[in-house]
Amino acid sequence: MLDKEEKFNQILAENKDRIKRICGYYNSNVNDQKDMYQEVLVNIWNSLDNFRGDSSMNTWIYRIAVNTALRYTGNAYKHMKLIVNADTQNLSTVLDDENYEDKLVMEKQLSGLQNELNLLSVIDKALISLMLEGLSMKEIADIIGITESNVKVKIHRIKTHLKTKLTGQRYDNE
Amino acid sequence: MTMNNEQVEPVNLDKLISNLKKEDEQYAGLSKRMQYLYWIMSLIFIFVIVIQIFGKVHVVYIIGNICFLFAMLIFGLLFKYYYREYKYVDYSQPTLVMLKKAAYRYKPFQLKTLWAVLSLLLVDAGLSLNTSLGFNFIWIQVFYLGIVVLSAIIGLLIWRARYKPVRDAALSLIREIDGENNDRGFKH
Repeated sequence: MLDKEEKFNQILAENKDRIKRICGYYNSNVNDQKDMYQEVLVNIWNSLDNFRGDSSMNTWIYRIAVNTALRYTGNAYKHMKLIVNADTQNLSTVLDDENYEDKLVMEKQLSGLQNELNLLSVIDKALISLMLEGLSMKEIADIIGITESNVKVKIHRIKTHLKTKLTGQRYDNE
Repeated sequence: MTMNNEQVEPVNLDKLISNLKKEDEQYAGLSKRMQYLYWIMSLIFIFVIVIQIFGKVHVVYIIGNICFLFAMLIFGLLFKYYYREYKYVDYSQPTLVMLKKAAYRYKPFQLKTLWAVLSLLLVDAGLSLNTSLGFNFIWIQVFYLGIVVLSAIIGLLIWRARYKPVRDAALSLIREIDGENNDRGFKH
């Protein structure tokens, strides 16, 4: 049986990069990333006693990371930024269209996407960050605590909104 | 996503773990010490009450000490059950659950507040009934209840400045997550 410190080290060894990526979504500044990373580690430690294996370790880690991100900025939730870059692996899933990918790597459009993402509400930013991590709708639903269909509706709406803004076309909401 | 994760300076893990363990130990130590204090005080009151019963002391004094005893027990139990809840937030819950708990935690008046009020009133009754302590009934009400009311007002002011904004932000996020059928998700 692993003691708390061994369990903590094992979780960290397996999820270090994932946590750093999440911190990278919310902070452009390296020091802020580092502070949030440390905050996530502290929250993992403090939540370890409550881990009963009801959810997968992945979901558990993402919950702590996202919840820390929501709380990290204290009262300044709305100033929280979502940082994306051209090399984000799942960026094309945001627009659901392979043809957009080439365009997105162009600096101008990327900058547009960045601006639009940062105009999203905090929860929408959290949803997009999880989608960029390549998580399924079911996993996102487990992390946020809403139904899978609810996640689908929200993400569909965000994508439609982003497409409209980036292409200047009108997409009809469902 | 910016791929500047590599630039994140590594956290000094050994130091962090050592601090976290120290904090755990401090929490466990404080929690134990406070509980020992409450239980020892309770035992002292039980001892005094038993002596008073056999020593033919006036029944009003005995009732006064019983009030102190119950106040002590309620304080002890409140501390035992709620200290950890307030000290540590469980970040591993689903976001919506965490936010709802945060909104509840920062609510100024909760059901458990009544237990604290009850124990404060029991202390008041104890002070008033146990006239062997030499306190005047009127002055007890003026000073003791005055201090309680003043503390409550200061507590509410602190809550308004520090915790109300956190609660309002949590409520706003809850509304946003729950309200999937409207367009409040976009800040336009």
